[in-house]
Amino acid sequence: MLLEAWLENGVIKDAYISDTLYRGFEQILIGRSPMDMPYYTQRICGICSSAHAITASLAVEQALGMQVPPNGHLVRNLILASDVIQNHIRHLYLYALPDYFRGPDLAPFIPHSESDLRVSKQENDSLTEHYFQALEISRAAHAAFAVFGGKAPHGHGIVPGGASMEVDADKVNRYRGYMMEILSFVENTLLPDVDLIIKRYPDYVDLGEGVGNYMSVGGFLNPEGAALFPQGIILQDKRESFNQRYITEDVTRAWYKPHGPLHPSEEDTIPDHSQPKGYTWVKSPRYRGQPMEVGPLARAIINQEKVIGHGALARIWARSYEIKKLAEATLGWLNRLEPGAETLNRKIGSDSGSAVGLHEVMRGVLGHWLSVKKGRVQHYQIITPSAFNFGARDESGTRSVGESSLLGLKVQSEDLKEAGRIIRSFDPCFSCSVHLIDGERIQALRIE
Amino acid sequence: MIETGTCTGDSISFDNIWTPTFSDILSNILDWRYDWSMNQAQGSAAYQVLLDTYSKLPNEYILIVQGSMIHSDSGHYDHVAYEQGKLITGIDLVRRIGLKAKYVVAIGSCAAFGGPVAGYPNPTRSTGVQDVLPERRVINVSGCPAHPDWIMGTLLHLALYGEPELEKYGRPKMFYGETIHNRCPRRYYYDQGIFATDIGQKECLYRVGCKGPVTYADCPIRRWNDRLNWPIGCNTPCIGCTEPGYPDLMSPFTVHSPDIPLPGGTKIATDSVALGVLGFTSAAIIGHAAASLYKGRIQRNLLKSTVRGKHRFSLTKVKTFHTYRVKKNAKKE
Amino acid sequence: MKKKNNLRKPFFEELQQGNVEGEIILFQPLWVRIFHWGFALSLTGILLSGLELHKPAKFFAVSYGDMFKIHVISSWFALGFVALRCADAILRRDQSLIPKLRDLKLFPKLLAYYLFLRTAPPPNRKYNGGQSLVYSSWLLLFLIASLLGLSSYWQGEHLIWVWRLVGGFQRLRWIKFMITIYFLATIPLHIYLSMTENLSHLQAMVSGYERKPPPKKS
Repeated sequence: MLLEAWLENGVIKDAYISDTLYRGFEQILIGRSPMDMPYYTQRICGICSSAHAITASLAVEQALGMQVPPNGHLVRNLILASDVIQNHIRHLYLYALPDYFRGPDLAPFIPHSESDLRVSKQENDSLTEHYFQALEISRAAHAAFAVFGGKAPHGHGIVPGGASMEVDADKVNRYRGYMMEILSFVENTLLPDVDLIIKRYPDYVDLGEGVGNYMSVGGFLNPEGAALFPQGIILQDKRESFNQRYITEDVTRAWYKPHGPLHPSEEDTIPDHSQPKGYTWVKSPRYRGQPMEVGPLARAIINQEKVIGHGALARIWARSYEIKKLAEATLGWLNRLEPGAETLNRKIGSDSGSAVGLHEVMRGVLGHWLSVKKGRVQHYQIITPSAFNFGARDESGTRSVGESSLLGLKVQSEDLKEAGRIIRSFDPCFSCSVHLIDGERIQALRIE
Repeated sequence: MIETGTCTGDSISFDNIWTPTFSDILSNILDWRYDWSMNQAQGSAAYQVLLDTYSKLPNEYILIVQGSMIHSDSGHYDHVAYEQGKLITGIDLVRRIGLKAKYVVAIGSCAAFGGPVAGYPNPTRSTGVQDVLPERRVINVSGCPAHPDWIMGTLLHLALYGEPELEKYGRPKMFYGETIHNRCPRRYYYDQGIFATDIGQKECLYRVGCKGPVTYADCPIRRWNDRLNWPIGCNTPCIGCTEPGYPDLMSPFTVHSPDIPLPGGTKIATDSVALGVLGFTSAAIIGHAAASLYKGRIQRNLLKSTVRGKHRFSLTKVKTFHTYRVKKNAKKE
Repeated sequence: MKKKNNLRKPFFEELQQGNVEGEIILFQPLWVRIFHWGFALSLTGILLSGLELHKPAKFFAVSYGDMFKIHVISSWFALGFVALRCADAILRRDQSLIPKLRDLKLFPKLLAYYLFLRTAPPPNRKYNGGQSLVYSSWLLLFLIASLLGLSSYWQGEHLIWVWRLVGGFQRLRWIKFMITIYFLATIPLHIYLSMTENLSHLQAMVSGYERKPPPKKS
C-alpha cells in the first residue's frame, strides 16, 4: 500500500491511497466448479480466510438452491467467530497498538518509531508483555477455528451446504476451552490495554473521522434467523434499510478497463495498468453513489450500541468490545449445538443460477456476486471491506472513507506516523485489497 | 521476509506456531529484521532496515519470500517498495536481495510454485521464486499456507546445520518426504475399499477427490493448529496444496482428475473427455459394423479370408509342441 | 531337429505341389504370437486394475493393496513381453511395426476405404498404415506410461528428472489416465477390425501360418 499525502504547513491537504498489488482472483475463478469457491476464495486473504469461505458458500447455496441444516449454521458461526476474534486480537496487538507504544528491543521492532509516544516505561513493559501474550491467544483463537474448521488459515470446514465437521462433546469441550481462555484474556488484558491507550491519546478518539456513512449487511444468524450483527445503513445521518441493488462499483480512477458505475453482478474485471487516471488496484464501491464506512464501528453504530466517538481510537475501541461480544455469543451457540445431528446437506436444487452472498466479517461488509451455469462459474465479483474503506476515487472525484479521514490531519512526525495510526485503525487488509504501508511519499505542495 | 503477490496467510500461519512460542523465536532464535506485518517503523524507515541488512551482511542473511512472482507488465502489477522516486517491483527486489542471500526460502505454494495466484488463466503471469532466481537454489516450503512447523523447522535447520536434505521439488525431505496417503489414518478404509460418497463422512475420501495419494506432506502425523485437526480429519478431502501444479491440477477439489482448460476460457472435466472419447469410439465401431453389414463388406471379407483351397489337409498333431503333419492316408478330394 | 524336418517336410511338399491356391507362409513367428497374447493379457490386467485404482467402482469393494499388486505385477509382465518383442524384432531385423513414409502416404486412401469411399484397401506391407501407426503408438505410450509408473513407484528416489519434467504427481497421474483412455479407445477398434477385415490374420496369430492368395491372373 502506498500513501501519497500532499502536505501544506504540516497539514494533510490531499491524500491518495494506492494498492500496489493485483492478482486477478475474479478472473481465475471463472469456469471453475462452484463447489470449489469457498476454498479458492479463501486464498484471497490469509487473515480473514473463513470470511470469504462463508460468503462464497452463502452465494453458492443461494444459486444452487441448497439448504443448510441448523447445526451447520451454528458450526459455521463458530468457525467464523473464532476467526474474527483471531483477526481482531492480531490486528490490535500486532498492527494497531505498536503505533502507540515503544515495544521490545528486538529485531522486527527496531528501529523504533520514537515520535509521539506517551506511555510510561512501566506501561510500555506491560504492553510488550501483552503483545506476546496476544500472539499466544490469537493462536488459541485459530486453534478454536481448527476444531471445526480443519486447519487455519484457509480452513476446510465451511463448504456449500453447511459444515463438514460432525458435532460431538469432545469438540464442544475443546472449542469452549479455547474460548474461555480468550474471554479471560480479553477481559483482563485487552480491554484494559485499549482503555489505557485511549486515556493516553484522547485526541485520537475523534481524530480521523470518516464521512459519516455507515453500512452493515448483517451476519451471524442463528437458526431462527435473528442476527447478531443487524443489517442497516446510515446515509447522511439518516437510517435506512439495506438493499444490495444500490451497491455499485466504479473503476474510473483504478487500473482497469473503464466502465461506468455498475452493479457487481454486471461488471467485469479487466486489468489495464496503462489507464492514465488510475492510481490504485482497488475499485471504488459505493452505495447509492456514496462512500460507506464499514467495520466494527459501523456495526456498533447500526446496532445502536455504545460508541465513544468516530475516529481512530473509537474504531479500535469498537473492535475490542466486539471481541467480547462475539466470544460470549459463541458460548450461546455452543449450547445450542445438537451432537450427532446433521451439519451438512449436499442436495443441489439446480445446476444454474445467480446469487449474492453478503456477510459481515472482520473488517466489515464482504460481498460475493456469482452466477453459475451448468455447474460452472460464469461470473464472479468480490467486494471486500477494505475496498469500501479504501477504494479509489469515483467518477465525481469523491474520496473514499480512508482518504477523507486523513484530510486536515496535522503531521508532526517525520514518518507520517499520525496518518499510519488512522489508516491502521480501519484494519486495512491490503492483500484482499492492500498491504500494510510499505512505501510512502510526502510531497509538500504549496498552494498560493 | 519479503511479501509479494500474497495473501499474508503464511505470516498468519507462522504466528500460529505452537512451540516454540513466538516471543522465544524472536528473542532467542532468529534475528527477524524486516516484515511488513511486524515492523514498527513504517515506509522508508522500514525499507531501510532491509537495505542495511542487504549491504552490511551480504551472504549472511536468509531471505524469506512469501507470495508469487508477478510478471505481468514487467512486474508492475506488484510494487513492494518505494526508493528514490521509483516504485520497486516484487521481482526486482527478490532478485536483488536474493542474489546476495545466504539462503533463499520460499514459503507458501505461491512463492514455491506460483500457487493459487497462478491459477488458470493466470492473469498476472505468476511463477514461483525459483523461476526468477535460476542461478541459485531456492528452498521451497510449500503449502497453502505452509505449516508453521515446516517454516520454523526449515529456518532452524538453516541456522544450525545448514541446508537440509531436499526432495525432488526443493522441499525439505523431513517434512515432504512421504505422501499424505501413506500415513493417512483413514488408510484402513482405503485398503478395504470402503469409501465415502460425499464430503462430511467418516470413511476414506478418495472417491470424493482426495489428493492425498499425490501430495507430499506430513499433515497426517503433524496436524494443524495445536495438532488438533487437519483437513481430512475435518471430513474434507486433501486438496494437494503442497504440490506443484496446485490448484489447477487439483481442482475441482471434490473430483479426482483436474479440469482441462480449453481455448476460449471454458473448462472441461477430464472424466467427460475420457467418456467422450470412449463413447465416440464405441459409436464409431457400431456404426461402422452396421454399415459394413449393410454394404456386405463383412460378409465378403469373412468369405474371402476363410475360403477353402482346392485341397483340404488332414492334419494330425505330433507330440512336439505346435507341429502338425499331413495325415498319411489323407485322400485328395 | 531331424525329426522336425521329417514331420514338416511332407506338409510343405504337399503345399508346394500346387494343391493350394497360392502358398502357405509363416505369417506370425512364435515370439510374436507369445508377445501378442501375453501382452494382451497383462495389458488387460494393467488397464482394469489401473481403472479400479483410479476410480473405485461402487459395487466392487476389494483390498486396494491387492489391486495395486496386480497392477504392478501385470506391468512387469507386460514390460517383459515388450522386451521379448523388441529383442525378436532386432534379431529378425523386423521393421513391420515401424511406420514408413509410404504407409503415411497411403493412409488417406486407407481411411477412405474404412469410410466406404473406396471398395478395396490400398496395397500394404505386413501391416497397413493404420495398423503400424496404432501399434507403434501403443509401444511408445506403453513405454512412456511405464517410465511414469516406475518413477511414481520409486516415489522420487530414482528418476527425479522425470518428476521435474512432468511437474507433479497429479499431472503424472493425469498423463497415465489419458494414456489409458487412448488404449481403451483403440483396443476395441483393433479387435473389431481384426474380426471383420481378415480372419486369416486372426488365426495366424494363433497358428502362425497363413495362406497367401495367388497373384491375380490378369
